[in-house]
Amino acid sequence: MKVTATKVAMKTENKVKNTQGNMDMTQRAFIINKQLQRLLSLDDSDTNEVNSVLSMQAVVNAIVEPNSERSKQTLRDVNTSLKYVKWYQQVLASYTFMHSPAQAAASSVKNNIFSLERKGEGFTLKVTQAAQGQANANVIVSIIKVAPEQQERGVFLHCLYQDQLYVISLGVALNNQAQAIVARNNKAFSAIVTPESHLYLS
Amino acid sequence: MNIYKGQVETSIVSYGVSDGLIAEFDMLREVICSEGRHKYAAKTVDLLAQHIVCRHYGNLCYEFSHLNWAIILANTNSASGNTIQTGLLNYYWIEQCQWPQHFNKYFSNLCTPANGSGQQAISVNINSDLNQLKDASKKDKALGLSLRIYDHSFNISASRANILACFMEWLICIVPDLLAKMEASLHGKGHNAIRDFSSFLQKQIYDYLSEHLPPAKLQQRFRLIHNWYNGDSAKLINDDGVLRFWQQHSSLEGYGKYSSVVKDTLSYLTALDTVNTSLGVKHADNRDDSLEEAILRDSEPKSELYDDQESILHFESASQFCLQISLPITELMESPKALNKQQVEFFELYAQYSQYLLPLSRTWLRLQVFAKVQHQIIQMARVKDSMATSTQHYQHLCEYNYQHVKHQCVRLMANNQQSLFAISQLLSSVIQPSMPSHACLVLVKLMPQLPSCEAHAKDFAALIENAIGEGKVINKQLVAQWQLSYPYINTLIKQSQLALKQINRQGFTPATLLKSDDYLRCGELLFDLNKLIKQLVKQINKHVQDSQENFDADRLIFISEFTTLYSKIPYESDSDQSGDENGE
Repeated sequence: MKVTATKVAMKTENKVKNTQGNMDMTQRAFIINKQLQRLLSLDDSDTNEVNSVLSMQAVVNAIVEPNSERSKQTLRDVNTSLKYVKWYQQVLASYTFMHSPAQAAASSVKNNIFSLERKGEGFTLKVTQAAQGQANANVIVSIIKVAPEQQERGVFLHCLYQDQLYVISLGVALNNQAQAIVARNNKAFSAIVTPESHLYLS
Repeated sequence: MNIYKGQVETSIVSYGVSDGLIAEFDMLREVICSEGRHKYAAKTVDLLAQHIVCRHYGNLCYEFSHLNWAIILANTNSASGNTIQTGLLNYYWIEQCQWPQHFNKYFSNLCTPANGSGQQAISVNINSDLNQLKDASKKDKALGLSLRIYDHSFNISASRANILACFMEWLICIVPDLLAKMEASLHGKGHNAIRDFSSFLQKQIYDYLSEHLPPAKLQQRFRLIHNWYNGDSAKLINDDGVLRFWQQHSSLEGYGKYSSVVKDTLSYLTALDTVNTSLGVKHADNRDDSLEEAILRDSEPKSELYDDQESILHFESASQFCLQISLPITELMESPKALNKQQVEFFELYAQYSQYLLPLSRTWLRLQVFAKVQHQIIQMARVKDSMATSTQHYQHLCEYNYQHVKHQCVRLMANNQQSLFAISQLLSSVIQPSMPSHACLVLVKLMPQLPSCEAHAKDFAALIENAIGEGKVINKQLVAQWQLSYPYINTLIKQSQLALKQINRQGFTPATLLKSDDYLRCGELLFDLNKLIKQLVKQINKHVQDSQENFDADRLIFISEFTTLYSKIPYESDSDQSGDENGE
């Protein structure tokens, strides 16, 4: 019966402690209630300007549907943080196999006439002087096998350069080719033509 | 202590939650999936918040690790040729398996249905046959996964899909390189690896929360309020007690705002109640059990994998708070949109804490008028508007009195009645035109609220009861017949038609129709809400709290308090950082 005796003794001790225990429990319940008050509520009158947080889903949506207004906003948000740029790149790498890592590409400028060709996995990129004038360039991709979703929503070129992302819409592919005209003073243009950029085609 | 510091209170001081964590939960509520609706149900995000705040996430991590193990195994075995990380990305974000249907579809495409024979050493099986998928009522519950890893087995119900996906969406924000870590930890591994990975996640969350849910400030607040009320909620907490507490502590960090004092009081009352009732009793029981166990068998090393009893108890009582005591008024903002954001903000605190705020109705009135004025003053002071300093201007800001607030309540009730009319009309004309009985029941329940129909409420109820008693089906013809015979029914139906015409919010227009269940649920909530409002208005009337006299007395107190708190701006305007107490 040793066990019972110990038990009784411990129970008595327990009772003494109980008030303190209850107090601790009350305190914890109070803390939980306060924290839930904030996390469950939509009352945001107390917050100062909080940096918004991007969801992985928003980043994925921006890659799947790059043309929507929401995606364009997401892309701007992505470019504000290295963390999101990495997410974006990770999703792109999973989403499409067509890409061209940083490399030494052959580009040349002769008499201010520009031309470049770059080979990637599954596609070739060509940049030439646009007929409309020197301020613009033609960006043309030739795709070996156009993916069904590219047929549907068009082809997009994503360039990662110096931890910033640029997306160019190339329209729907015709005869396995899609193209766009890009202004040469556009930052995206420099990102495309530099060999250090990583290109993805989706 | 600098009074201005009190005005830019951080969420850590007021709520013990970091701005970062708040932003993450705001994000979870706003995630849009490919169908254009919210990816996570409001309830799901609330549930996750509860897990996190109560530190009851061990079991969740364990379940989550199993799910990812299953996704990885299913992808390894499939012919898709996806890499492991692509498989995970697919499940959560591209195919978006956050609903039970998607969950079941995903796994039934990737693995074979379970059958008695052919038990493999390691397998992922979908639990039930696909025929049940057609049965809408069962498909959420009946299906799920069963995992086998040698002699370990584990089941995941499809109904957990939403919370597990939501958990992932949050985790990927807080654990760097989560997908790569999952692959490294779970790919080709067994039960031990699942346990290890689960512990790893727990540790990551623990570390994250020690920064983002710091309890220290709240402990201070608790001690202050506990000393003031001394655990005696019934005797000491009354409208004047709350006001005096604020007057005495308003120069302290975190207590400058009257609303903070009220909210702390409500949390304190809730905490006392939970401990005095369910939680305390259960806790004592559990303590004895664990004592007994500890004595009878040598204490074996406690597995850190699971949550401790106290966390679970807190979680349960928080669930009770979330699900039962409070009216989930925010649900009324969508599908269908019965209330707008302003209306919800106006009544949310009351809906959450009605049992405490009903006896504190004067406090609630003060909150509606003076806490709002205080908020305005603080906003003005932030932009250094000189108007913020003048007592005359404070007078001017108090343009709404308690009568206005009461009228706002009555208007909200009327708004809800119109929504109920519209719901009844929708149910009988569009959603269930062949079966207008639900619509009739909504009307019967609504009638006592309407002075013009009150007298006939019993007649209509008897009419429906008799019809059912005689085995009649309440159909369109019968209702039309009633409409002809009873002018009041005709009036009701006309009113319903008119109400629907006038409401063009989401869920009430032809383009945004929902399922009948959505309307019935919304109707229930609106009835509950109107009941709460009615009680409150009654209470205000009973104590004549909306009298001009009471308002004037309160205005004197608050304006004098505001003057002390905010009208010494010349001292402060040079530097907000100066740590000086502003002179009394």
